[in-house]
Amino acid sequence: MRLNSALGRSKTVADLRQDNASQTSSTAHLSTASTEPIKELPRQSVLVVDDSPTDLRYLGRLLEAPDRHVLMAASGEEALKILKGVELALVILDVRMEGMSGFETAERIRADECTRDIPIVFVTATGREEKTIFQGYDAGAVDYLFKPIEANLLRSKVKVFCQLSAQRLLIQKQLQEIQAKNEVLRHQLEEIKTLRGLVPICAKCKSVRDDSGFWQSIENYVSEHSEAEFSHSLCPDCTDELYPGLIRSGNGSDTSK
Amino acid sequence: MEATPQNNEPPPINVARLCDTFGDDPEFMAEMYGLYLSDAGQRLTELDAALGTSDTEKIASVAHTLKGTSGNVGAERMSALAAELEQVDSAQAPQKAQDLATALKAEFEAVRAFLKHYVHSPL
Repeated sequence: MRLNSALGRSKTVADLRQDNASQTSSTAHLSTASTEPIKELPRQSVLVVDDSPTDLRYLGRLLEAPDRHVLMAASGEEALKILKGVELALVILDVRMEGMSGFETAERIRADECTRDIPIVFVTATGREEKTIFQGYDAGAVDYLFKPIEANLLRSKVKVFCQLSAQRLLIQKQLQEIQAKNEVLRHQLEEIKTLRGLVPICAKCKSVRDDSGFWQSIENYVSEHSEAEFSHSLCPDCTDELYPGLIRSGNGSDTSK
Repeated sequence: MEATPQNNEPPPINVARLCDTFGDDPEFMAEMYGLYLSDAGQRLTELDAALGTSDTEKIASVAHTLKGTSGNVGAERMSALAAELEQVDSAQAPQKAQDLATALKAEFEAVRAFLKHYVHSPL
């Protein structure tokens, strides 16, 4: 019985509950993250792909912002190489290019598990025929803009995509933190289960065999597997044995020091 | 060639387009116009070659690129001529395609002359 109380099981569970509560608090914070403005968004990268040097420079300059990297590729092939090593918020892709077209480039991006979720905005000087536009959406576009580019429209759209990407990254980071906390809690729960289970104990010296097969004193074992602490006392029988002449006070049931 | 517009015609480049977008940044404007002259000049050479070989796909492709690039820098007449050429079936109407290509080259010379004056002494 004393051992049971010494295990401090309720205290440990309470601690877990407290950890769970703080985890719930993190989750609550997470749920509000999408509605509250995020003050410090991570720097975002945008890739612009166009085979016209003039348009590439134009778009690159247009999208420059203090919190943004603008990467540039002069072809679909070059874009696919850049995509392999960078976390991107958005790809701005010219439709009609020499060599690999914008649609083909988009299909390659969509086919790769690592890049398939990157939003693609097509820009083109092609007429506004529905057929062409739908072809772009089929290739994975989230938007379709026409040259000559309306600068403020493109800037606004890119800003929104960058904010969405930053929020997604923050949520991922928070999710990782929650998963790490869960892992710690899982280990703690496993330890509690060990104490609740069958503990091998020597019938003579009362040493306990731990999970690694080593025998150790029961005090050490309990201390390692719980939050319990021991206070040293003598029971009445041991007191009589060790100090036969000692007169115990009261009913003599406790000689705690 | 006279760089300033005559007969009340608008200049071949609407310089307000880049100014409105990027603010007053003469260095960047000069860079953009330099890039455009080089880029468009190369496309016109490609267009000549495509017309020589009756490569209809290439003619449409070059016209398409010229349309977009010219529009972005404010070369509005270049952009309109290129758009017209892109729509022409050059296999069916080779002379019309040739005439539009000639008009494009003439307009490009006007753009070049205007920019030569503009970049050195902005309006």
